Amino acid sequence: MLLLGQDLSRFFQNVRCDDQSPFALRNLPNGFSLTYLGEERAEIEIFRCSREKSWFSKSDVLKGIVLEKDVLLGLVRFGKIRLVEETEQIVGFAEPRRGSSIIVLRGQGKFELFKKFVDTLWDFLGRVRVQTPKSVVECEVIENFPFDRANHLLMVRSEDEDLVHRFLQEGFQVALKIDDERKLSHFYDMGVRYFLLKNFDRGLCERFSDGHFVIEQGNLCESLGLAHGIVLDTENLKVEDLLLASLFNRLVVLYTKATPNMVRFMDVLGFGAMGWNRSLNPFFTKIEQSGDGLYRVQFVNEQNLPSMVFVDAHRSRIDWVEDSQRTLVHRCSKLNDDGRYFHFYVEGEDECSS
Amino acid sequence: MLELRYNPLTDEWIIVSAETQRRPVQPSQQSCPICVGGLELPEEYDLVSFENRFPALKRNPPDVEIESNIFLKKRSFGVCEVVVYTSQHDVALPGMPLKQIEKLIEMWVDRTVQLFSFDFVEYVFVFENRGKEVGASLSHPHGQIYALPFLPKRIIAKMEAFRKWYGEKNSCVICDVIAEETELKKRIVFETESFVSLVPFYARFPFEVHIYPKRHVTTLPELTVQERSELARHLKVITSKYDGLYNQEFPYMMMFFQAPIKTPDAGLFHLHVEFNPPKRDKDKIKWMASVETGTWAFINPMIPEQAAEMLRKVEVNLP
Repeated sequence: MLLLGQDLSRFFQNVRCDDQSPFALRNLPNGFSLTYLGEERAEIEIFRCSREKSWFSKSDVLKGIVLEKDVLLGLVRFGKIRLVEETEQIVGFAEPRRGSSIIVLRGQGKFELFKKFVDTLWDFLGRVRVQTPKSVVECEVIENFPFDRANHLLMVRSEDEDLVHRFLQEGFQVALKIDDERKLSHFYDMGVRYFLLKNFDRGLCERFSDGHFVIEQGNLCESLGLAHGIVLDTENLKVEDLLLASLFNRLVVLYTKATPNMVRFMDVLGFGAMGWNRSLNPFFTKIEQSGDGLYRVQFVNEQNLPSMVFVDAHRSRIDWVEDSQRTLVHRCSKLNDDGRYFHFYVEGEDECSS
Repeated sequence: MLELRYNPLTDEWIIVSAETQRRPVQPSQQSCPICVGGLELPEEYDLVSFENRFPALKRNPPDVEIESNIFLKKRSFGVCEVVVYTSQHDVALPGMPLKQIEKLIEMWVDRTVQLFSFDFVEYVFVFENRGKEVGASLSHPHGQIYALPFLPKRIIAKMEAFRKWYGEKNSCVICDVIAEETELKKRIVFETESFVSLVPFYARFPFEVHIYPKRHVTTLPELTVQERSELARHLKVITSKYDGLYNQEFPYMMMFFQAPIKTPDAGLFHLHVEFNPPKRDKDKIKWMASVETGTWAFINPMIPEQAAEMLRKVEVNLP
């Protein structure tokens, strides 16, 4: 693999970057990073590797990550990442911005390298504040809003202030599609906290510290450490790529649609829900590789019981193994007049009293 | 006033909560606020967890005024819940039916799952303070849950310890301790198929007991139904043995240490329960004085193996 025109092995030899280089080299456990210190500039060639010996993805979800043998290279916060397939090589291009980083790690196995990459990023990006993936719904008639308002976002596509104010008063968590920072500031002052943006400004998270920003479209690697979420199309992703992509949900929540037969799997993996309904807490999900293309995913199900799903990536097979037992009690929550929640636990099939 | 203040001397956040000064001290059962008909719970209930009337942390805390660049403050996001184990005022864990404790565990599981889903929650801490010696203000059997917006110092220290051991030995420290202790036996107080209760080799308090699941699990929700049932037995047995030591209600702090699941390598953590009872004898307290409070170096006046033997000898009706 060539990195910035040089053989990759040179960087592993602890060689300093050329004083003229705009990249600062830093050693990492099992690898290194190169961070761009210059100003924004036009596209450059980042890497070049053997097409035959490499793994890469052309989807926006995982574009920017390439593996060759026991090395993973990931591009973080570059703009417009582009892969070109030549006859024998893959060439990666991107537009560097101040703070763009190339992370290179050595390890065994694609899945373990991906996990290592995500762990490295968590530290590298400054101990990212993990966000819970949300369910985003668009509802025409809010009187019949069928979902739990505390756990669902109501997507509002109109900038009608009276409408937004009414939704907020009714206790909805409003998610607003907006592109003008002045308007964003105005709605933020009104109490809106969730925003869907086409163009994302890195300073928004600092200027609006309680805001939750989701980029409407883009690339995962470009968004890392910037926004809280990104809307992506995962429809054509293979099962294994879904598993790999899900590892990033703790850094930036990937919001995606899902077909009915994939909803539960996406729920377990912690994807944000666009037009479907999340019901699980994904922080209890653990993924382990048990063989070539074989994965065991442990999670806590709707009954709060440990469950498992086995994935065979080669056959695109997903097999669920769940405890059929029921728990002894279920929760009935009430909101007191003073604003405090009371969670009563009743046995068996007893109804919650109103 | 409710706010978080940063201590740069120890790199940790302190919770300032003037509200908790107003919490009640219950003089008698007739005025118990968490009995049926009491101030908080006017209607019949079996188990309930409710947000504290005088919380140290809130879901929607007040804004804070920034004083300076040195004295950092944050809003005190979080949740503080009172967990009521039973509607019966006088039945604590030792005397509680096993099924009630199993239901209690399920409540803790559900609270853990729900509270960890809040964005502002970094850690969910389930605990019980029993006895006025540890500051319990109500005698009705109850515990608390704090859903904290930061990782507390001791949790960070535990996580570092798990990392360090794994880095050196490629294994879990508690898994290794269990393997060793179940061979040695001398510190074990009670053992079942899935759990072991012991006085740890490294006990800080005279009658400190830890409960470890034998399977490497990181949180309460990961326990199977069978494991939850066994945990209930251990909680009943250990608290019964405590009361039987000197034939008195034995004060303790009971703490559930679950993984900080939002940390990437939280899988290294091993779920465990710690009992820290302050008494070292029938009428003597092991005080947290200057050495313990100032340096976090503990002096244990009791040999752990002797404490384990004393606890083993206390006969209880095994459920």
